Amino acid sequence: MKIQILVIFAVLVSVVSYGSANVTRVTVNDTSRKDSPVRLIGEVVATEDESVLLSNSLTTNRHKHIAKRHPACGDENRDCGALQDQYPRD
Amino acid sequence: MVMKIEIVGLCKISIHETSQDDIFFSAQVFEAGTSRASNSSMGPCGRPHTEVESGQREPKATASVEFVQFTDGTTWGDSELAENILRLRHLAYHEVKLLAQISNTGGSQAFLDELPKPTDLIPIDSMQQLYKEKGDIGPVNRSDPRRV
Repeated sequence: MKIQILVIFAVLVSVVSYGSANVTRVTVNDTSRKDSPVRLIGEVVATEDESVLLSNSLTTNRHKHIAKRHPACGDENRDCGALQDQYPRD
Repeated sequence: MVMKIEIVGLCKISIHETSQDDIFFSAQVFEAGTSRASNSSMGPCGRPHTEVESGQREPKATASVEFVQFTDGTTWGDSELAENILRLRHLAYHEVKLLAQISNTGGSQAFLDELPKPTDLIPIDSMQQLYKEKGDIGPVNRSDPRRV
């Protein structure tokens, strides 16, 4: 009985190690402009079924957020710091 | 938000994709200082069997944020890349307004006759799914168009 259990365990280990040996992970390099309001951290995984999974974490910068902006802040590249902090967000 | 993604060396073919994500109709705003996860799947695209097939390139993945619109309407980045997603938003917004108008003038039955019509617009599709799940017009009617 003990021998049978050991054999099953050995098969499971071999399947797991085969699977992990064929998965490729690559860290995503964020090539956004330096003044981008969003930063990316992510990885790409090539899987057994030959598909590619992209997993990203998106983080907004403090003063360049995708939320309500103070009218005086204007648009894109202007960082209005403390003025924006006083403005109510959605 | 529009992102460009490039992946080389992981598949037989390189992937050059533009990802478009519009949260205009979502209840949640992507607020300052917060993070959110984004996951997508591509393929199957075939794995390289030899170094020659993969062009002897090291697997590499890059992604860049190209366009962002803030909730006050101001934008950052290349607005040309966002033309398509903004057009789809415009169409969805008008369809939601039309449904509201039909509901107000023709009542529930007129609304239910119009709602299931085939559409490629994601917010309308979400309303259709909501009605299918709930089997009740209430949750659909109560959903703010910006919250679909």
